[in-house]
Amino acid sequence: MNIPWGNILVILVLGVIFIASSWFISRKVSTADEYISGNGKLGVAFGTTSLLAFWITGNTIMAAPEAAYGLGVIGAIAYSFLGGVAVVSFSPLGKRIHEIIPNGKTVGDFYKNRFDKKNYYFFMIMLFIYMFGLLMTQGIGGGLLLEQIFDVPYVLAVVLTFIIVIAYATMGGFSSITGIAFFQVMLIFVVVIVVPPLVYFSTGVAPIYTGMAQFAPEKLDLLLPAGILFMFAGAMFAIGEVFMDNTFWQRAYAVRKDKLMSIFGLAGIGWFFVPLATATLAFVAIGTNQAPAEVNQVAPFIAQIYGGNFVSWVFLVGVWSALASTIAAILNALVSLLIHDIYQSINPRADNAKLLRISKILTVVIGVLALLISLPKFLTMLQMLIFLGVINAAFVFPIIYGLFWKKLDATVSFIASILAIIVGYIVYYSVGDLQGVVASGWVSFLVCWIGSLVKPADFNWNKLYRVGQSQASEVERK
Amino acid sequence: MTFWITSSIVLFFIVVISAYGPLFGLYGEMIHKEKGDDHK
Repeated sequence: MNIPWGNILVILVLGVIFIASSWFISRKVSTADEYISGNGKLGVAFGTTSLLAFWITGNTIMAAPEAAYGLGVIGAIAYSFLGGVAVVSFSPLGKRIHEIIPNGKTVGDFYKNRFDKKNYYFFMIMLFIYMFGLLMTQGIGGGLLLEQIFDVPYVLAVVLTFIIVIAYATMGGFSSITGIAFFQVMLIFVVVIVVPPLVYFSTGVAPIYTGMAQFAPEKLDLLLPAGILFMFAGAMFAIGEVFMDNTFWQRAYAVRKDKLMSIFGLAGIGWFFVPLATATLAFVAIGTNQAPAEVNQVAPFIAQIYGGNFVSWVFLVGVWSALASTIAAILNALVSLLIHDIYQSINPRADNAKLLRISKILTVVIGVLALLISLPKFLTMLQMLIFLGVINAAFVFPIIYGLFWKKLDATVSFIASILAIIVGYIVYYSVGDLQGVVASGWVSFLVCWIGSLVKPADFNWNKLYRVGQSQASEVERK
Repeated sequence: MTFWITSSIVLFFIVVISAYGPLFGLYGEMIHKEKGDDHK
């Protein structure tokens, strides 16, 4: 096999830049808290780009054109809508999180103190399954992408990606990841801003529209039923992902309270345009009646035909940055959960130096584990996301009502999430995948709502308010 | 298909209303008193 050294060199150069930047940032990281959750002072620029860097994944750039190729214009709009609206929907929750758990660190802090042990353990198990699944989708998706489109052998692609990410994520933890995220988002925006216009300058817009009307007129239909279902059922699992994912909770705690709504709002709106822009490349494929060998390769396939090698490399840089930033953020979010919710409850007297050391070791261990389970190529990214979406949708209402409504009882929340997952997977296998997500969301809503009216609790918010207060005052005293 | 499309749209609006509702006093509580243990 011919090894494409040019493409590997692009990744290595980027990797060296990320690692060097991380080393520079890590010099200022001295406490375990800074390593796992930052200093709580992220402003609009770094807060927004850190959210964007995590949420713009390999899927955003690759699967959005795939959805547009299959479902037409509504597919592109639906994909952009589902991810954008999920982040915007989190903004009132983020504001509330700052108010009622000001010294919290993870989503586990909320679950442990708002509900009871059975809820907490069940949620943590589901959360680890989801986050490891997400990590695998990024690892496998990244490997497949580099292999199929840029001819880098799969194993080499996965190993190279993980080694670089583990190296820079281990050095400075959260601070490094959010610092480098700014640079990565700029690279991703270059793809979004440069590639589609270059392609359309070459093809013209009117011929593509005429071609679509001629070859696949149904793909111009904005009311295509499959597209509408994808838009709203997809929004449900994306909202579930955001609400449940510790990566978003970490950023809710880390950003400035007064800027939180703007940061999450801007990130959601900014995200909307990324898949929309890359999805427009699929219209060129439809309008010119060209089909790639694999449908998920439609965007780079078109970019290479109309933009040549330069555009192809720009695409590689953007997609690889998106993958690296997402893998790094998930690694850090998992370490934060393990340290804060598990290690500190086993060893509450561990000092700062020890916590910092354990955090770094855990980053390497989880990274290597994720690398190993990503080596076999056994699933596709979108399938895995929808499969996990049933779990995500089940926790949407326990989280929303748990944050805002004192009437939500712990047992009701537990029954709602378990029943939603069971019903969701029955529907997933018997009716359809997206229908499973919708069923899970409905059961979660109905049980939480009716249960709170039938058996109302009277939760004392001060229990959440006191979480982490002693640690915070200790840090202030130091 | 119509059933699933309708139920997904309705569910989506329930989520949005549930998330933003407390900002407009629709249900639940939005403002937290930062001091005093009498708050419930």
